[in-house]
Amino acid sequence: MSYKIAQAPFLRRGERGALMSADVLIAFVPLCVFTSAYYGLRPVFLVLTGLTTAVLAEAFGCLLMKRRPTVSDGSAAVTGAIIGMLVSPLSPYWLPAAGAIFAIVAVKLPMGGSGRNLFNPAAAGIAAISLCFPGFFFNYPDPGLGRPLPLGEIAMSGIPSPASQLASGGQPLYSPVMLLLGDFPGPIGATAVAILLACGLYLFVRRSLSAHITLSFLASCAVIAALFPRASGASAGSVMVELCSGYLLFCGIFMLNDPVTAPRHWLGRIAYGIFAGVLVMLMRFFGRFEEGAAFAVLLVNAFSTTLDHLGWYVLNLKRIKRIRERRHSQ
Amino acid sequence: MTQKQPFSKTVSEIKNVFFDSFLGKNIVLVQAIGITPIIAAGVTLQKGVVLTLCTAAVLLPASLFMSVFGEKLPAWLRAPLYSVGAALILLGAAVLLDRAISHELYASLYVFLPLTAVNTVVSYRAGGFSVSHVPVVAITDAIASSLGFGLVICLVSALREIASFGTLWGNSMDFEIVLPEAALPYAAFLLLGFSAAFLQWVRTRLLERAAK
Amino acid sequence: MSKITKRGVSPFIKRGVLLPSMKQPAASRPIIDIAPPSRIVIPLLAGDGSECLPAIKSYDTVLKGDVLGISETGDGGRVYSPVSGVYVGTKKILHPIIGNVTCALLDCMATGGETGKFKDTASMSEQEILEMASSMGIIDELDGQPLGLKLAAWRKLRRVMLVADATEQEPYCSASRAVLKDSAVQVRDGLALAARAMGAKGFCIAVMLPQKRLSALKAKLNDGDLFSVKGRYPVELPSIDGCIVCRIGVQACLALYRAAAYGEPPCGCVVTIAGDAVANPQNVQVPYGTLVEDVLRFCGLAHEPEYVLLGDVMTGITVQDADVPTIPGITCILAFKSRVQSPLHACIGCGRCVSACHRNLLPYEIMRRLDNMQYERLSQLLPDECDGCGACSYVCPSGLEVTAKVLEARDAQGNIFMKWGDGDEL
Repeated sequence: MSYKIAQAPFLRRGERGALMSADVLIAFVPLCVFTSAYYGLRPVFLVLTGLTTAVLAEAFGCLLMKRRPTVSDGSAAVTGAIIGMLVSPLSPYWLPAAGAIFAIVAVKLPMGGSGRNLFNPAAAGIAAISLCFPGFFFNYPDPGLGRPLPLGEIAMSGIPSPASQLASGGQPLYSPVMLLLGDFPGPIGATAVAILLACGLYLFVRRSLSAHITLSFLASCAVIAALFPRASGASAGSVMVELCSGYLLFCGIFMLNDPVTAPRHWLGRIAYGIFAGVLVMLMRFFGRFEEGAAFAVLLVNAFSTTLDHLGWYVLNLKRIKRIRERRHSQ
Repeated sequence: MTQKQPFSKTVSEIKNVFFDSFLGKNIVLVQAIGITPIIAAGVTLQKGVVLTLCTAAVLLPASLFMSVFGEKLPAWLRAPLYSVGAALILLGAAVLLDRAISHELYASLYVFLPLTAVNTVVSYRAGGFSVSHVPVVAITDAIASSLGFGLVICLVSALREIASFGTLWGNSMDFEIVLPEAALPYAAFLLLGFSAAFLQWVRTRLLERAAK
Repeated sequence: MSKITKRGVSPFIKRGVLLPSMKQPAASRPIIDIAPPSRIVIPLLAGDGSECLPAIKSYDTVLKGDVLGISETGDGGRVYSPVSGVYVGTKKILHPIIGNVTCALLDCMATGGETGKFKDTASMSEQEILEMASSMGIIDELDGQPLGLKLAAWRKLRRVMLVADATEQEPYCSASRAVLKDSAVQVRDGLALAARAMGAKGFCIAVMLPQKRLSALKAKLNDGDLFSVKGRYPVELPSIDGCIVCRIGVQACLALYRAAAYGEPPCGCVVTIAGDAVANPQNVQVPYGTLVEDVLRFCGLAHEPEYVLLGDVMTGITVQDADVPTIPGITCILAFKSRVQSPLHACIGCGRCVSACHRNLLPYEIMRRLDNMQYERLSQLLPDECDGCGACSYVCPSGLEVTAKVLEARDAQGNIFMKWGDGDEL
C-alpha cells in the first residue's frame, strides 16, 4: 500500500489569499454607503466602474499573455475599487476606467502580474489620472448640495477642497466634527474620516493592515503638520486638517498596506511609514497638485525592498558578524 | 582588422551588423543607449527628425574616423578627438538649422542639439564598436544605428505629438482628447518600455518560426 | 522560580504561531500495550550508530533483553532484543530515517518479560551511569541521538541545567505526558541520575499542560521538579536561572532509570497514534522494530489513509510504504485521509512568515533568492539558523512550501553547485 509523499508541515492555518482582498472590499462598503448618503448613487457606480474595468483588464491581459488567470486572488478588484474610491463624485465614468486600465495593463501585468509587481498599481493609476486630467480629478462637489448627483453626464463645477485651500494659502473653516463626519468636499472614499478609522481598525483585527506602517505614517505626517502648520487659527488645528483633507488617511490605510509592495520586517515597515509620511507632506507643500500622495507612494515603493532588508540587517548585525567570523576561522 | 577576409564573408557580416544594430539589437530598445534625447526632446515629429539627422551627421564621420585611425591613437585621446569633431559638425548643423530652416525649431531644441556630440550613441558605437571593426562594417553600423535611433525617436515623438498637442508635423489632426501631460518624460519611458517589449515579442515569434 | 531568557527582539513583537491542540482523545486514554505483532524488524545498529553483527544463530529462541548483536568496532555497543521470539535471519532495508541498514528479523511470541532485581541507584558513580547508558544503547527520543554520547559531551560544559523536555508543543503527540502521568517519579529519578552523571547544576521537567493536569502532576513530584512553560510555538528554552539548558527526552529518563534500577535494556517506547484516518487514537507501548503497518492496524483504520507520517505534523516525514520498523526516536505516528491545503498563489508578500519565524529570519526572501538562483546572496540571510519548526509554512496564506525551501537553502551548504560567498553587504 503506497502512500503519498509531501513536505512538512502538514498543518496549515487555512487562510486564503483571496480573503485578504475580500476584507478590504468589505471595508469599502460602509464608505460607499456613507458617501451615497451625501451624493446619491453616482459614487457607488463610479467605484463599480473602476472595479469591473480592473477585473476585466486583468482577465483579458492574462489571457493575452497566456498566463493562468489570477483574478481569483482578488487583487485586481481591490486595485479597481481603490481607484474608483479616490476620484471625485463629479468625475465622468471614463476617468476611473482609464485609471484602472492603466494600473493593470501598464503597471501590474508587465511587472510580473499578481504578487510580483514593484509598484502599487492603484497608486500608479491615480497618479496617471491626476496627472493627465487634473481638471476632472480635483473637481469636488459641495456636500451640502441636498440632492443626489445625476447619474449620467454631469457638468458641474465643484468647490475647492480643504487640501486645495491649504495649497493656495487659504484657511479651511471646518470644525472637527465636520471633518470627522465627512462634511467637506473630497474624493469618494476619503472624506468620511471616522468611518475610515473604523475600517482601519477592522483590517487591523483581520491582520490585513500593518500597524507599524499606518501608525508611523500618520505619526510622521502629524509631526510635520505640527511643525510646519499651513492652517492657523482655525477651529480644527493644523494636524487635524492636514490629516483629514485630501486622501492622506485613505492612502495610509489602504495603499501603503498593499502586501506585495510593502516591506515585511517590522523595522523596515516603520521606516517605510515614516519615509512615506515625509514624502506625502513634501508633495503637499511643494508639489504641483493639492494632493500628491499617490506619487509619494510610488516613490516610496521603490525603496521598500531596501528598507526591508536594511531593517533586518541592522537588527541582526551582531549575528551576521558572528557567523561570518566563524566561517572565516574554519 | 588588418587581415583581409573574403568578400562574401564581409557581405554577410555587413548584413548581420545592419540588422543587429537596426532591429535585433536596436540601440535604444535593446541596448538602452541614447535614451536621453528621446525622453527630453522627442516631443514633436519635427524635433525627432532633426535629432536623427544630427545623430547621423555626427555618427558616420566619427565611426569612419575611429575605425580607420582609432587603434593607432592612444586611448585617452580618442574620446576628446571625436567629441570635438562632432561638436564642430554640429556647429555647422546648428547654423544651418537656425538660419536656413526654422528658428523656432532650433530654439525649442535648445541644449539637446549640441548634446548629441557627447551622446552615448556616439561614444558607444564610434568609440566602442567601430574601433575594432573594418571600416565598411563600421559605416554600416553607423547607418544602421542612426536608422534604429531614428525609427524609435520618430515613432515616440509622433505619438507624443498626437497625444499632447493633437498635431502631426505641425498640422492639426482634429483629435478631441488632448493629454498635454504626454509631453512629460514619464510617457516617453512608458512608450519606450512597451516598444521594447513589443520588439522582444516579435523577435521571439520570428525565432520560434525559424526554429520550426 | 526561574527566568527563561528568550533571544528575541522586542516584547511587542510576538514571534511564533498558535497551533490548535489535537491531543484529545489520545491524551486522556491510558497507555496500552500493543498486541504482539507477528514480525519484528530490528535495525542492527548499536547506540553509537556502529553496525552490529548478529550474535546468535538462525532459528534460535531469544528472550526479551537478550543480546542480538554486538558492535563491529568492539567497544561494547550492543543491540538487545525488544521481545521474546525466534530469530529468523537478517534483511537489508531502506529506512526513511536511518537509511540503508541491516535488520534482524524476529518472529515474535511475547512482548512481556521478567523484571530484573531492583538495585539501589543512589550508590552508582557518575562513570558507572555513563557506561551503563552507552552499553544499554539508550537513545534519546527527542533527537534520536545516543544518550551516553550526549551526557559525555555535556560533562565538559560548565553551569548547565538538565531539562526533560515534555512540552510537546506540536498538536498531536501526547506520549511524554502520558508517560509522566503513569511514571512521573521514575522519570524524575532517571533525570536525577542523568544530571548527576553529567555534572549539571540542577534538573527539572519542562511541561506545557492545562492547569488541572499540572496540579495533578505537581502532587506526585517535589517542588521545583516541574517547570511550566508558556508561549507560542515553538518555545525555546535557551537558559534557566543563568544556566544553559540541555534537553533530554522523558522516555530516555525512564529508560535510564529502568536500566539502572532493574538492569533492563530499553525495549520500546510509547508512541502516539493519531490522525483522522485512525479509528482509535491512543498512546501505545510499542516494542522497537514493530512495523508501522502493524501499529496502525492495532489501532484500527477508519479510512484508507493518503498520508502516513513519522513524527508530528510540523516536523514529521511522510513514508511511502508502511512496512518500516519503528526505531527509538519515533514517538508519533499519524495517518491522514487527506490534506488541508490552501490554493496556491504566488507569494503576496504579506509578511506573516516573518512574524512567525522565531529565529528572526526572512523566509520569503530566502525562498525568492533560492527560486531565482541568487546563491551568492543567499548566505547573507542566514538560512543555517533555521531549525525547521514549520511555523512559516503554517501561516502562509498562499499555501507555499516555505519551510521546505528554507531547509533546502540550509542543507545545500556543502553542495558544490552552489556558490557560497560573502557577497556584498546587502
